[in-house]
Amino acid sequence: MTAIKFTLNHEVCVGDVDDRQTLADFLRDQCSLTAVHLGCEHGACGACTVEMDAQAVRSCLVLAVMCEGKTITTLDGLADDRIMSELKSQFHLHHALQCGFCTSGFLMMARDILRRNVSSCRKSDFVREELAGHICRCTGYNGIIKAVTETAHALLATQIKSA
Amino acid sequence: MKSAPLTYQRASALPDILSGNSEMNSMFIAGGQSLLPMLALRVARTDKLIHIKDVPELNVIEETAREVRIGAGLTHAAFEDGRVPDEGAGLMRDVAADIAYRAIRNLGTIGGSVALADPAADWPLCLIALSARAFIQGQNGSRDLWVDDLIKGAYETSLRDGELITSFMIPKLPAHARVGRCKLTKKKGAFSMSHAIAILAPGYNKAYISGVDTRPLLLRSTSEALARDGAQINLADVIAADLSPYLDAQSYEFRMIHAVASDAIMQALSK
Repeated sequence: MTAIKFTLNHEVCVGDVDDRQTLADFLRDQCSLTAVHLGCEHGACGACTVEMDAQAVRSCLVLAVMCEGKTITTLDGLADDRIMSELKSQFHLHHALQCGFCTSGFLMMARDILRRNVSSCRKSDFVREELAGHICRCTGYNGIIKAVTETAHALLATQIKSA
Repeated sequence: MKSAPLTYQRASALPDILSGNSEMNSMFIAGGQSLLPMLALRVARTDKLIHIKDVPELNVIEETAREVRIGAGLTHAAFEDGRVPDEGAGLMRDVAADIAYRAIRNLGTIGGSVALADPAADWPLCLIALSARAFIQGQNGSRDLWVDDLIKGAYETSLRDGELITSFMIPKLPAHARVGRCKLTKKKGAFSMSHAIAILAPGYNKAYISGVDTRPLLLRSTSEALARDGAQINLADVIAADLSPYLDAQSYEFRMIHAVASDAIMQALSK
């Protein structure tokens, strides 16, 4: 067991972890952050995507002990985030989810690509490629792609208004 | 799918790493984007992981007039975002951006990719095509060798027990070098079925391809013909000559790989 301390969703988090424990299991089991979903547990489905030091990572491919001193943000910690709020309403509007299992991963990754390249996110081909690492077995993806492109339009429109 | 019990050590300097590794059955981990799933699936097994990401030597970027030295611990995303000088006429940035998915690229490292030597990986092919050298540190000193000599076969390198790749030295390509690249995957982000890189410059004509042998293959006759006759060669014939010892010329696989090689070379020729 190793003692760890890091920033989790804007608060200090301390814990004792088994060295082999993944960040995903730590977040779900010890921190009750169940927006982190576990699909494949080997980096193929994207459902467990979180942010580490402002970069998207798969929490099943990070050990909890590796997070010492880092800043981790999960979907649970983005309730007041402007991009996430817009994304969530667009997901609702465009039926971008059905069972919801993949949704938190898609939302985390969609926010990441919007933050890095909002202009390109207006194009569905771009969004489709950037989200290719995430698997959804319900929607057929069209609603998800539409929700992200529409979010990009909405964010750019507010930028223009506030400028 | 959880890894078997193991202990974890974070190293902050090279000596820590090398002494930590003196115990039996330990492994280095940098990004862990291949190793952690392999441990979880129990196709790899270790008693101890030594985390090397924070070691300064593994994150160096040093540029001289003729070459660039890059730390083995730099992530694919660092190349993709242009945080590492790319003297391969944009090749390294392009290769990096095309590896797996962004969440993987944020952690996965160039050194890890080479050390694992997956036959479908992109960095071994790219670094061999660029004639890069690898700097290797072991308990009994350091050595360097061509990445071409480091990669032996599928998941097989000439690294000895306890040795670690610390950096790569990449010679700058001549000005006006023309680069072409074609990667065939079943879906965006998947490991490639075949991947070809062609580099054409005065005195440097090379075409390499993966997906044929257990390690990147030099298309020797093609490279020699390109050096001799440039665009005048019968490209289809020379590529076929290079591939025929490995593949049945009537097979789908042959045609697929032939097309990948042709595409990369045609791209370079058309620049």
